Amino acid sequence: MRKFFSYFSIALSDAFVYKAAGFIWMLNDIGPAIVGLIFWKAAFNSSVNIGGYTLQSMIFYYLGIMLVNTLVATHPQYDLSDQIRSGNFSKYLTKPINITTSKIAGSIAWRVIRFIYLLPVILLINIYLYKSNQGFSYLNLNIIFLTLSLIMAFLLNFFIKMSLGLATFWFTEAGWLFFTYRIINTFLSGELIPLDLFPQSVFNLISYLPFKYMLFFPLSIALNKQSYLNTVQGLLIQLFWCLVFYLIYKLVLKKGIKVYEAYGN
Amino acid sequence: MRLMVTKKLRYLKLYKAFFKNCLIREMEFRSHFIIQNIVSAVWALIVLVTFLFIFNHVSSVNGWDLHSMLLLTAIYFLVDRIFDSLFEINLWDLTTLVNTGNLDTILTKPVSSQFMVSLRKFSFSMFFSNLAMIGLIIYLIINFYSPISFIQIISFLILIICSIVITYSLWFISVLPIFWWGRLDNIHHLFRPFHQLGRVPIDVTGSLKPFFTYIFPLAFVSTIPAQAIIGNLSYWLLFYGIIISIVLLVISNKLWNFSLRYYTSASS
Repeated sequence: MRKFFSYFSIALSDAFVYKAAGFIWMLNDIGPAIVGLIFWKAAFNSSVNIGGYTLQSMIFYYLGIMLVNTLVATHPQYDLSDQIRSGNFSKYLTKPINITTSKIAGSIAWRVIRFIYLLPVILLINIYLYKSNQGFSYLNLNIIFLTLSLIMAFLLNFFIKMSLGLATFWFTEAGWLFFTYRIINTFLSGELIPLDLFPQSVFNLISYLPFKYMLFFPLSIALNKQSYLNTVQGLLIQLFWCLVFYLIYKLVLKKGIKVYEAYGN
Repeated sequence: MRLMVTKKLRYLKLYKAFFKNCLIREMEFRSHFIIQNIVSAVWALIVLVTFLFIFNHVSSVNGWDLHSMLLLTAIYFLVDRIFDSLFEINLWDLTTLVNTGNLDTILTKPVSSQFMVSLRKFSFSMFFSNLAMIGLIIYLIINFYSPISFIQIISFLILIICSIVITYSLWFISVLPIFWWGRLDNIHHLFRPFHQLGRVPIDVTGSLKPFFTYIFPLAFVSTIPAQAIIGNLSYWLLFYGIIISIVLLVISNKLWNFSLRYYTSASS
């Protein structure tokens, strides 16, 4: 645990050095959601209800997407990929540094910085909620389920991205893989449009895939859109995918180290 | 006059050499080429599909129905991919060039340095996507927007060029602060979130529409070219598009020359 905190504080100060870079990444994170919001606002000019959403709930949805994404969507794969290519990865093999712990600590540090950037936005949302009296209350939130699902969403994200990053052992240039994953994920996690606007059969299918559990599912808990039973069922599926990708990550790591050539070291 | 022609020819010849060079490189990694092409086409298809889903629930947004939205999206991706292939790959490199001091080698060449940094590389990742988008645009024209006049086609093509030039100029300007803030190694992503606004009809921005048409002309990214095909384009905008493209390109060049004065050539 002490080690974890030192990784964390190193990564935190590292992330602080790149404050402005972090700001640009944040703009890129929230950009699509803002464009989505602008589009929907116009769409609701002609109809009050679109697929069960009102303008109000749609705004909540996209703001929620921004928040959940900021909290859980880590990108350790780029750095990892660089380390493997440059030979820097050797430090995980020769020094007593645990790759999983240090990468998780680094990812959390970056999330903290991103979250700080979003604080003004969160404050604005709260002022808006307070003034407009929308009946949204933090007391209605199921904090335990929400926290659980956010933590698992973070881990799921982390293990998937780490496995993708480790693919660099075999491909050397894995950028296309990250991009492929990103576009599939944007579509199937609910980042582009709410998943419940998809045709029912597609939506049902998506419920068995991991993507939904990194964004749409935690958000549904936060927005109180699900029955108790559905939430518990969803948490179990989420746990299942977490374990699956944890095992995949471990396996890829084990096999990858065997083919690792440690260039430059 | 003669001198100007030979000068232009030199640039063309140079670009041909760049292009050939990149083609040779690309053909070395053929599987990479095919994968990149498939991925960029899939991304466009995914966005098109989301609009199919959205328009299951609404019939039109600010007067834009499903077909015009698909047209707009196809144009957005067509222009975006052309921009990617010609320029974006180079703008990525600019950060490294400035930070490592390698820009020196470009500045010492007897051609425009902006030309060199903007067009040195060509990416081949756009072919599948663009074939698909051109196919979709033609399909939409034949089925929903015909008969289409010759003037409409010409204005559409001019506006596509304007769209590329405007995107390039704004994007290029947005990377220039790298000369002051060297640490900002992701500055080529700064313009992307703004550019995203080109993915939706500019009419949805409501009262900000004049701003995004005349001052920060994101309307020309895809909305106005689409209007040329749909047939509700006011020809004043075609005229304005040409003017603003030239103006922005000139501004980008002026700012480039201004920024170069602050180049410290890191290593030498």
